[in-house]
Amino acid sequence: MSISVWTVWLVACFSACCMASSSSAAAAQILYRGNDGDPETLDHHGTSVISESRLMDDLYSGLVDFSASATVAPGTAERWDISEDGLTYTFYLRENAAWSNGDPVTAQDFVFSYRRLMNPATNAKYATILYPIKNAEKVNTGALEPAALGVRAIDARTLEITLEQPTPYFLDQLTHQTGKPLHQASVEALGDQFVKPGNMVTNGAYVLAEFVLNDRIVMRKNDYFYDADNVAIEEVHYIPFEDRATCVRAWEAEEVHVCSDLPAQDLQRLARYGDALKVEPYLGTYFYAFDTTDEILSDPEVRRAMSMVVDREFLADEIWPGMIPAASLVPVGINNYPGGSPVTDYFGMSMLDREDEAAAIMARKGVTKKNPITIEFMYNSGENHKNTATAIADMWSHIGINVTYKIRDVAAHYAYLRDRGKMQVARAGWIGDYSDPHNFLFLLESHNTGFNYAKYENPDYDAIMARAANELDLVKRADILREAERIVMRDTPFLTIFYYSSFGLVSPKIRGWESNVMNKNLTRYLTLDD
Amino acid sequence: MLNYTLKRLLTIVPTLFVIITLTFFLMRVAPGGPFDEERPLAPAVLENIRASYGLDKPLVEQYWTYMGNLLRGDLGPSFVYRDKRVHEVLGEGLPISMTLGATALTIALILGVLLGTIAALNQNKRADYVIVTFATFGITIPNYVLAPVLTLIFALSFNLLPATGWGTPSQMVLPVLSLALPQVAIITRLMRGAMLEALKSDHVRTARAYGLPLTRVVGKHALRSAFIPVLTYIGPAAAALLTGSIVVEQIFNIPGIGRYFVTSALNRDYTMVMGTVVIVATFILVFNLIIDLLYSVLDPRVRYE
Repeated sequence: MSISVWTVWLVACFSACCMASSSSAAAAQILYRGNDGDPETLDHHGTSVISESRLMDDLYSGLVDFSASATVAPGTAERWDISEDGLTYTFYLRENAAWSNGDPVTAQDFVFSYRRLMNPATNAKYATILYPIKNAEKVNTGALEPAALGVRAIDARTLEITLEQPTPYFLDQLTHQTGKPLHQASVEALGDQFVKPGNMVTNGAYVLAEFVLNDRIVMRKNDYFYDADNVAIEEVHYIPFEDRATCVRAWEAEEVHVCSDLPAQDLQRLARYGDALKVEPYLGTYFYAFDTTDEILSDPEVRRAMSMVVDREFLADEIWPGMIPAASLVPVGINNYPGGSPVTDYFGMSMLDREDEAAAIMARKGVTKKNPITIEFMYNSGENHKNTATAIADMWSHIGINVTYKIRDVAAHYAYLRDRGKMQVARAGWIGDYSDPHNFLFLLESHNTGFNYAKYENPDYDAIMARAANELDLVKRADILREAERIVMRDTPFLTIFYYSSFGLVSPKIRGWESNVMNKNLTRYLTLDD
Repeated sequence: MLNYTLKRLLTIVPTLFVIITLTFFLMRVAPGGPFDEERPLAPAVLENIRASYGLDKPLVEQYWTYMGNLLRGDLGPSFVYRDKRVHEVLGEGLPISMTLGATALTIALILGVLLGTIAALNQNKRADYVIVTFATFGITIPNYVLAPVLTLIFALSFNLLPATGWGTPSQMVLPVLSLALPQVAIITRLMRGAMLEALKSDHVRTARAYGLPLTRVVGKHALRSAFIPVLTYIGPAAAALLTGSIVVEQIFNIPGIGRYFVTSALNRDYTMVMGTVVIVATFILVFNLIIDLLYSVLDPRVRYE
């Protein structure tokens, strides 16, 4: 190797070292956020998962946005009126709301976006979230033209949305990324290329600067954002981590400031980071669905016995650290549920008493340890799912129920459930899209063939849910929903096991991080210490 | 030789055709589809999306459409990255995987051949024992253990190198080492065995009897025949290394294509599975051909007509 080649090599190495160290030196302005993965698309109508919503919350501002603690706060709309019948919402947009190219954000941008969302040609995965809007479902299924959607621009800064029926959680639903606007001119001019860096026009605190697949998404501060003066972080880099343990190592090496998720088995070790480790209740429930049309499991008493005998505290302590024992279908900490979930009697009893009572119920059905029955249990592959299933099978064995397993990968498992195949017990879970008990209780409505894996049909339950839908007073509505939840806890179509927790690592240099049940922390509210 | 090469190149086409056809239909036998997720889609939405990707058409029709597109060099749209086509996704990651793999392979070849030769020349002496111990160690430690250990030592404890990422030379060191070390070990063992054999062969003994210096005997005569088993190993190993390592790329968060071998199958991203299969199959077939041609260079007894 000649001397000049050596020189080049040394310079390259030296500059690389400088770059590596400068990344932490420049951290005062740049936030490095580990994310669970890359987005399927940056067209928010095509997005569905939480890792995508993080990006969208930074790029766009909807009519309403999340506050620092993820409650509903005014966004592009500075205020709104709701008609007395709860059917008409009038939003007044901020005068200084602007797109990243300087154009003003108009009511028409929202009309355009919502019509596009519902247009069947858009293939929006989550169009269903905004089905409360008048004619939304009919437009989305092709029965009506997009122009028939109940959204109209009264003038450039006034938007009127009409609903099918009063929906007390409609504002919560609008916080979802599908409720965000689109810059009509650039979307129409550029087609599917509008999401490319340089093309993408957004109205949120940040604007897309760079997108390298599997490597990084870089966003820069949008100076036209209506609240830009209060945005401290100049640049945010989202780094996708397929492997959560890799993010932990990157965080420990100070290459990222935030990890959005952690491997559960590392929680104990990571406890040494004190407040930087975030383990928070999350808006989700982990449950087993019983097939209520099955010969054995159609009996609610059997299902109740099987639920009673499950020691959730043991599972949360020993089997799946970080999860929270669940005594209801609706997770704790949810909005719009004053008074919270009803208390189900047996959760107050000791485990020994519960086992005895469950065994007595089963004995009345002729099932004992000596005369057991066997049921098939379906779950999707995964270490924690397996451990939980094994532990629960052991608990069931005490009341004469033996288990055979059927294990598939996620796609096959959920395809089977979707096709409503024959089954007995299947593992499932639900993460709320908006913070309202309806988003959990609707899972068991008879007509909800997509999510009601239990095939549970109860006209009384449906009637109560319909009654709740028409009640605008939140306290009265909570009473009605509690009645509904009491019924599902009694009938036990779902055996609720855990409430999910969200896990994260947040650098002590970050200020303004408010943990919340939605696991949402918008970059615009954060600051970085030097 | 030219005839032979052309003939072999021609057989690659039907082989690829069979592989692609089998993969296409086997993939569809797996239950579930690209849009079956933990959070199910509304039936009407699912219907729409499936139709927009042509998944509602009869399987045979889908197959011919795919083959037609493939002939035009289009690997189809990715079902998971909606803004990109498969060739774009693979086109972004493949150069990174190849850089990583080629660097590791080069290091493995140089070190492996060198260490194997040294061990063979010092058979049953201290150098031999040290090298054989290292090689045994290297073969038994899988890279999913080696990579985190290297990170722990060099990135987290001593802060000398970055723990993740790709782009700067310092970010290359740990992944390349993690990928190369097990290969160094394998090649060292192969080389040592083959070199011992070669040193005992007639033509090497003759060369030494003529009084040629040892370096020349080893470098010119023994090395050539000793390299043949290594070459046999290198063909498939190179194809595997250059198309990305799922383990190393994941542990160091490198944006190569290694991940797609697993994730695309799990996500039922049909077109991406096909894309990865086409790439790996092509690499294997081409490398095998190159290796076969190199045999005739190394071993004068091998002739291709």
